[in-house]
Amino acid sequence: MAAPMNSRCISCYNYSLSHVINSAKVLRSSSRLVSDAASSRKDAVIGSTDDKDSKGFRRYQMKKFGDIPMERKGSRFTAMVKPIAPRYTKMPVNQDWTNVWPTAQTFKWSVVPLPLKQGYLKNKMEAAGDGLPPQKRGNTELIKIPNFLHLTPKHIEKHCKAIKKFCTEWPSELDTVKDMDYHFPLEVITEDYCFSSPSVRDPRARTVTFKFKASDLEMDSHARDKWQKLLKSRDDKVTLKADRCPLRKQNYDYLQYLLTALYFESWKVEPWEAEMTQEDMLDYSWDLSHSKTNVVNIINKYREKDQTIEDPTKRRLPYVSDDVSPDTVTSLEPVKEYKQSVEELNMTGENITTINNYKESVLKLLNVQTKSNNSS
Amino acid sequence: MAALIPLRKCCQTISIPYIASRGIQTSVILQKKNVRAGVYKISTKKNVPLTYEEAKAPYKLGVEKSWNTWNTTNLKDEGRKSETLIEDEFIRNFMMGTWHRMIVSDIVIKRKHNMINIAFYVNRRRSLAISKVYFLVGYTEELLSCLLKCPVKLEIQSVESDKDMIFKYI
Repeated sequence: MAAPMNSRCISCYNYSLSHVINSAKVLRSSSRLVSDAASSRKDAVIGSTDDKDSKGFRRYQMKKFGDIPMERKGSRFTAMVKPIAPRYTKMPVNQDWTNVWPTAQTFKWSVVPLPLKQGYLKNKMEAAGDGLPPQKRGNTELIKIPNFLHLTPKHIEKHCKAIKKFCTEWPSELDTVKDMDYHFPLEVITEDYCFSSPSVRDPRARTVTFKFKASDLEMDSHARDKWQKLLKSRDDKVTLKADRCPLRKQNYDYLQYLLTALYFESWKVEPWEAEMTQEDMLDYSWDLSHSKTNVVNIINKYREKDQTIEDPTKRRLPYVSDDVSPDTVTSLEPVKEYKQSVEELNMTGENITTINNYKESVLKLLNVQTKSNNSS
Repeated sequence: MAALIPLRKCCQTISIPYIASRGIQTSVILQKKNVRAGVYKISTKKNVPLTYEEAKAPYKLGVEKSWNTWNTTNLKDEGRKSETLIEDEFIRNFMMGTWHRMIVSDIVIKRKHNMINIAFYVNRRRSLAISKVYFLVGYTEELLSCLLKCPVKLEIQSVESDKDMIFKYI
């Protein structure tokens, strides 16, 4: 009576298991277990001819309380098996810890040979009752916290040894920051994000930043002026940042395109740029200013007057020769000095040096002899 | 109605994303008087056993006990708070059903990148035969990996009896 009953119990148990296993596509070994069980069930059905009625159908038999024999009850659980001594009790003192704990893992009380305790007692009767914090066995606090048992000096030594074959010497040409800036003028900055989620992608990682110095680009004064206008910035350090495309590669490509386009656009000279006046320029330019026309007019007037005077020592502006035309006036030395001092005054602002320079250049331009000059 | 006015003012001044993202709590909670949720009552005979986790009140989190769930979702500007919470609750229910009667501690869920580590203690005397435990480990890891779309790893440790987990009697 008991034998077919047992076999049916097994088959029912494995039926429910096989359903779950097939739906989840689990272990191959488990499916083998199921097929074994299925065959044993077939045997049981064939063997138990007594349980069939006259038409050959199996009789349904209800399970009674206490039908499961004692030996099977015992085999379901492991209570009777003696516990194995924890691993830390069998460890030699001079063992290699890196083999015991090779990678990052949760704290295991049976493996770590340290008398660790973790927890807080309100009074000494708590925990073991000896006034000490809970010991490591069965301590949930110890499995919660991250540990560094996989990062001992020995571990690091092994890691370094393993990756050493991939390392090369640092190039001697790149010893200083100055050298690095010279050889690699463009700095590309991207960011990676570490976080816990089924996906390792992060939309924030798409951002790309280019950093470089505008002075590293080959540009003339016009191109530099236009570059500054296109960027709306007069800084030498330029930062370009792009996050408009969904992928990092696309943003990187876009920034490369942007840099190229900016550079060649600033070299272009459009026909309407000839109409630019002093107000359109970013920097003060004496050549475009009203001051230049005034200076040229004054010098021309004096030149015409001086031409009537035959004695060169009595001329108003002795440095102007007769063959100077209105176009070549600016190449005269006092005019050049005047231009420089006026530009300096406009660019850096008024201070004692710039004002004195301006004064000196005006005196020289108009050939005005001060009292001190006369006395000396 | 009068109580609503300051609330409305508050909502105007503080933007919703600021309320939604909490950031890290770095200080001890001082407002702990009259907290009864999650605190066990003392029995008349003082013979009810508690684990360390149960013995410490919820406001002791981060002070005398640490969290059962470790992930990055509550850090500033990180997302996926609600999804992770629901998944953790699902994992806990799943484990309690699959490892029925065996688990004697809280289930600690630690997430690193896309990896989920589930750590807990089982009572060895109440657990199944070792081959069935191996099966359950594979079954749990495979099924949870398929459901949560990321690798799941169980880190099981055993204790000999429930008494190993008792911290104090209350």
